[in-house]
Amino acid sequence: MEKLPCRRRRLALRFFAGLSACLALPILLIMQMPTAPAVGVVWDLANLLGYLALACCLLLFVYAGRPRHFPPFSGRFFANLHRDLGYIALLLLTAHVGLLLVSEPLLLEHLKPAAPMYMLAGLVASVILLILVVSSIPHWRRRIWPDYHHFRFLHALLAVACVALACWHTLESHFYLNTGIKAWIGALVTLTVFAFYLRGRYFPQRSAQRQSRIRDTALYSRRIVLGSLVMLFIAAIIVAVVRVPV
Amino acid sequence: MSNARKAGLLGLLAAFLLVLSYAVFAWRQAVLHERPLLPVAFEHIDHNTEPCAVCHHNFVDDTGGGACYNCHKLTPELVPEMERMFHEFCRGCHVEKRAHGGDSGPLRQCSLCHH
Repeated sequence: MEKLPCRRRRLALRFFAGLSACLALPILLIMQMPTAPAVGVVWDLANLLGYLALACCLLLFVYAGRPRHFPPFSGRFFANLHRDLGYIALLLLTAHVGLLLVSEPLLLEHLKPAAPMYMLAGLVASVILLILVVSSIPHWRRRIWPDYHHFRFLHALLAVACVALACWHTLESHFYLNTGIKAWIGALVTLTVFAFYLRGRYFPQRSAQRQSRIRDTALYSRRIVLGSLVMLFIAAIIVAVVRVPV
Repeated sequence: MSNARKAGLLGLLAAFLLVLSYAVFAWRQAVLHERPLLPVAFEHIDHNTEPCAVCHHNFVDDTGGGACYNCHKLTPELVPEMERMFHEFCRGCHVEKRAHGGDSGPLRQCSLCHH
């Protein structure tokens, strides 16, 4: 494997640290007092993974596939980062739903039409995320939307709907965001991310010149995202185990 | 894509979602009235530290008679809110007790109440 040049490696590490910190925000928020009482290791772990999935979805708006100032890597890096974060969000969501259904099969009642609206919102958000990921695979994307601009427009629209529904699900379930201040912080973070995305879309900043961007960095995105995921998965397990009173 | 086409597509999508939401909502309302309740394991002896009127509010506010079911499941206006109301009422109390370090009933695990 090619050895990374020192500067490139330093930049990748700094970016990795920043990304992990952003993803860890929900866990930090959750751990603030007054914390919700622990239910059980599997239940708490599943919910932490759900929060991480939502954090990944929010980050997808920040790294929407366009080159950003930092890190000054080539455009392919950001396209891959967006794709990999999408896969990770779907993986975390699958773990969230799967773990909860396995540990509490009665939760299936909350996926039926008579379920509370916030649970149905979570279900619809999950379906939308699945549609977003599958329809973005180049093979399917070209078949469904021959015009790339149609794809991009609907992709953004569905993504906003997905995150809005996921936020409703999270806030209304009152699990960890169980106080007014936590709910307000969550809502503020979501609105800031949306504003950030709209600013980048309608008032694009002048990005670094193409020539000055560091090339051959496409592969780093997967390493960075996987590294963050492994670290946060371990952190979520530790938090879930520590929270449960002996 | 031109702005006119974008607006057209957006309008079409919004109309479709509006119709779909209304259909789902109407269907849900019908299902809510018909579906049977899940059995709940409730023991008076586990709750004898609570004042009776906390649950049996109808004893003091004259809002009805008999068991919870008589009003909450059989009154059409109360049915849509029944699940949220009961979950928040039972769970809210359990969560509060546990948060203060006390012993409480189940917090979230469905099967501990519905079995």
